[in-house]
Parts: sequence; C-alpha cells; structure tokens
Amino acid sequence: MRTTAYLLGIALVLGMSACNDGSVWTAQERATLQSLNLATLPAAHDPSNRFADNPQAAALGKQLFFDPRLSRNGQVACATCHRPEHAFSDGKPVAEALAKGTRNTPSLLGVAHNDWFFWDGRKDSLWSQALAPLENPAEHGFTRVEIVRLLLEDTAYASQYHALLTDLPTPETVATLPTSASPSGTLEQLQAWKSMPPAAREQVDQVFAATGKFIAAYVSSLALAPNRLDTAINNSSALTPSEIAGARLFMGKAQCILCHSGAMLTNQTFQNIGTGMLGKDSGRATVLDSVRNDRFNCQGKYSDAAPETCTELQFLTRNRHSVAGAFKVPSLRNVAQTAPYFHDGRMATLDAVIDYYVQAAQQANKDHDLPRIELSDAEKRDLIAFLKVL
Amino acid sequence: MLTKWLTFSTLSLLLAGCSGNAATTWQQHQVSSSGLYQATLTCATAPTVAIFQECALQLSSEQALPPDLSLTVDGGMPAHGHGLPTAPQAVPTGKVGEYRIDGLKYSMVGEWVLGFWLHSAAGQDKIVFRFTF
Ligand code: HEC
Ligand code: HEC
Repeated sequence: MRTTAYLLGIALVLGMSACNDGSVWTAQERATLQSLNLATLPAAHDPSNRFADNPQAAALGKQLFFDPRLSRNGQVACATCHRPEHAFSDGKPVAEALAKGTRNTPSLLGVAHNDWFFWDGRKDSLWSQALAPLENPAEHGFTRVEIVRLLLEDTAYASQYHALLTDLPTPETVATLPTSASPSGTLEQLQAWKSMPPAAREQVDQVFAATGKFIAAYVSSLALAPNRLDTAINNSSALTPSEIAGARLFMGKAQCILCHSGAMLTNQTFQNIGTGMLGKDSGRATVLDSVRNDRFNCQGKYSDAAPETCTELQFLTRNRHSVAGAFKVPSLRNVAQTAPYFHDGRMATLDAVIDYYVQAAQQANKDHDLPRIELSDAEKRDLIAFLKVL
Repeated sequence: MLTKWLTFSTLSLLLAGCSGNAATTWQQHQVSSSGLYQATLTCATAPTVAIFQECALQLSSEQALPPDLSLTVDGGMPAHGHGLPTAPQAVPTGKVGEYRIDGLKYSMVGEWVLGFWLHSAAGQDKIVFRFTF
C-alpha cells in the first residue's frame, strides 16, 4: 500500500514537471530519460528470504560479510573482493583470493534489484548467491559444516543466531559433526557429508541457508545514490554539452538503450554480445539446468516463497541454443568506478569497451545480438562522458 | 511482481500525464496460417520491456474448436536473431477458446514476432503476431 501511494506520488510529480519543459530534451528524450530515473525503481523485494527486511539480520549479515574467519586460510571475507571504496567491486580483471578466478567482480550497489545473480545468472536470489563464494575453492574455500560450527561455537555469533532462529543444532550435535564436509566439496568432503545422518545434514543446510539470508539482508541494503542524470531531468544545466550529446547517443544512434534500459540501466536479461568463448565460457547456456536443480533456489525447501510465486524460475527459458554465449546485461550505474569491464574483465577502460561495440558491430558474419553502429571519435568521447555521469 | 507491475503503471501514468491519453488495453487481431482460426491477443497494456506482460489469447473458428487443442508459445526479434527471453505458457482459462499467457517478457524495444502453435489430432496450425513498440 505504502509503495502504491509513493509510486503514484512520483508519477504525479514527474508527470507534471514533464509537461512544462522548454529544456534541451525533446518530449521523447524526456520520456526515455524518465525511464532511467532512480525514482522509478520500486523497492526491492525478496519473498524467498523472510529475513530480507529484518534489521537485526542485516546487522548480523554485515558482520559476516566483513569476517575473514569464514574462509579456509582465515583471510578471505566477502569484502576482500567487494570493497566498499570501489563501489563493492575490486578493480581487478578477475577476482583473486585462494586462487585466481575466471570472472570479474561486479559492484554490489543496488544489486537487490536484479532478477538473476552472477554474470551467467546461475543464482535466483541474493541469499542463495551468498552461499556459493563460501564454498568456492578459489574464494572462501570453506565448507558448510565448518561454517556452521564456527558460527555456533562463537559466543557472539551464537547468541545472534539463537535470537533469529529456532531449532538450531545443540552443542552436542555440533560436536559430532565431521571437521569438514559438503556435498559440493572435494571427494573427501563429499564422503564426510554422505557419512552424516540425514537429519544432521538437514540441520546444517538449514543454518547454512539462514546464513546466506542474513548476508543477503545486509547486501540488499547497499543502496544506490542518485547520479547526475537522475537530477538532470529537471535541471539540464547539471550536465555539460558533451554529456548531453552522449546521453542522446546512448538513447539514439549508439542504441545502448536496447539492452541498458530502465532505472538499473539493464533489461535484466542475458544477451550475446560476442564475448563468450566456445568451449571455455558460454555463459547463460551452461547454467540453465543447474539453476533449475539448485536445492537453494526459490522453489526449493529452504526458500520462504510459495513455489508458484517464483515466476523467473518458472518461466526460465529451456532453449540453451538461444542463450549460448549470453551474459547478464550489467547495470551501468557507477560504471566509472568498476573497471575493468565485461564478465572476464578483458576491457581495462570505457574507451576499450566503446571501441569494442563499434568494431564488433562491423563484423561480417556476426553471431551476436548487437546492432550495427558507427561513431566518430568525438561521438565516442561524448558517449564516455555520459557513462561517467551514471 | 506486484511492485514491478506498479512501476509499470507508474510509467504509463507518466506518459499519460503528458499526452492526456489514459492507459488502455492493447489488442492485436490475426488469422491462423490455414485460415481456420481467428485470434485476438489482448494485453493489459501496450508492450513494455523487462516486465511480465499480462495477456490473454481468444481463439474462434467457424467450426467447433478441437477438444484436444493445445498451444505452445514462441517468438523473438527477427532483426536481432534472438528469441523470447523467457519460456511463456498458454494456459486454458476454462472459457471456450480463451488462454491466459503466463511468463511473457520482452527484452528490448523494436520489432517482435509472437507466435502460437496450435496442436491437435486434427493437425498443426500457427498464429503469428508481428508488432513494433
Ligand atoms: C574472491 C573474490 C570474491 C569473494 C571472496 C566474494 N565474491 Fe562475490 N563475486 C565475485 C565475482 C568474481 C563475482 C562474479 C562471479 C560470476 O559471475 O561467476 C561475484 C558475484 C557476486 C554477486 C552477484 C552480483 C551480480 O550482479 O550478479 C553477489 C551478490 C556477491 N558476489 C556477493 C558476495 C558475497 C555475499 C560474498 C561473501 C559470502 C562474496 N560475494 C564473496 C568475487 C568475490
Ligand atoms: C545487445 C545488448 C547490448 C547492447 C546493445 C549494449 N550492451 Fe553493453 N553490455 C551488454 C552485455 C551482455 C554486457 C556484458 C558482456 C560480458 O560481460 O561479456 C555489457 C557490458 C557493458 C559494459 C561493461 C560493464 C561492466 O560492468 O563490466 C559497458 C560499459 C557497456 N556494456 C556499455 C554499453 C554501451 C555504451 C552501449 C552502446 C554503445 C552498449 N553497452 C550496448 C549488452 C549490451
């Protein structure tokens, strides 16, 4: 209800101001700019996480996010790669912790507004996403059993867990758990996992999933601040002539808006722009099955959502071929702070990204979704000036 | 979902705010390839990007509709060579010839094709809508 009133309020305010312009924008440009405005972004909502809006859970999640003890060598936290001073990215081409990864670290500001997580969208919620790096051998390299033991044996964490959860394993049960065990670990860890009684595995998964939900409650609080474009609608002097020219190119001739649309500057889908590598990384196509079978997905038993409300998962495409080489269209908010670019960080600068778009579009036998565009050097400079506004 | 829908109404209101037109439903008519079926596609609003669309398809024919008729949905953007971003379904509503279209989304503005394959023991047919937004 509150959201309704709020949105209607915005509609009225924007609607009225839209009618008396006399500014540099045409009516059509204004309408498009409005669709990019942060004010049109609805509050993020994750019915699969009952702790998503719980301040106590978010406070606990923040401690977990910054705690390097949740790792094999005691030195890797989420914040090792998602660094607050880099808009929660890391400035490296690909992430590096226990080992060198294969993907670039994305910013987490506003991430709760996404439909899918990771460059290939192999996770459908923030809480399910948070579980992955904890057990990734190149990242935290831990196992869920070690995590559960650490959290329930640490007095400060244990008291917070008891305040938020019921049915936690007793200290006696915790004492009987193997040292290190996970269904997605090494062969040894997998065997240890299988040797556990089903009830114990179930309890561990419950605490593990809840840990993801606490972390997600914090991550989803990382909000976007309005950028200069958000204010430029009613005050065109907020932008320089070059930035205004860049905005026009973005919405028009350069056709960036085809994919980078809406207040997050992404259409939330997976698009092939020719950056996939056959046999090495074909993006979205490789994860369609794993998303469906993920025990921590929106329709799974650890989710707090009614299965029939998991619409993204329910209507997930089954056509692998159509998404071969496709990666998630990333948000372009704060893009100036999140170099290097693309899923594998192959582009060091925004100049290189724009050059790529212009060159890729010229390819004779193109097998990607990009429109053909041509830009002069001056236009490229304007477009980059605009990207820096975002 | 609900919030997304609200934003979307907000946008429609915005546009309406300037042009003076109230948002209305969006309709397309088409005849099947064989000429046997007439179809009307009705959506709560004109197509928009990245939001689940609320649409229904009404079929009619000179003859009675085959009792075992089932529909599958397909589509894409011919100019960009890609399909629909999701896998929508046509679900019978219980009213004769009426199907609710669930899970339909568009990923960008431009020219789209939205096709319905009609399967029954009597044979295959298809209805193809083409539109640009
Ligand atoms: C070693 C560096 C590293 C660590 C540690 C790490 N991440 Fe990430 N994070 C990445 C990389 C790289 C990706 C993209 C991976 C991919 O797409 O395959 C990513 C993706 C994400 C995403 C998805 C963002 C999007 O837009 O899709 C979220 C959310 C996230 N991480 C949160 C976390 C949380 C929470 C933790 C701690 C539990 C964490 N990360 C630990 C490097 C790291
Ligand atoms: C057909 C859809 C599409 C169009 C059109 C498009 N992009 Fe992208 N964009 C993507 C996808 C997909 C990625 C991620 C590719 C990858 O990671 O391999 C991306 C990535 C980017 C990135 C890197 C962001 C990051 O965090 O790594 C920038 C910057 C960017 N696009 C800017 C633009 C500009 C400027 C235009 C217009 C000239 C444009 N895009 C047109 C789909 C598109």
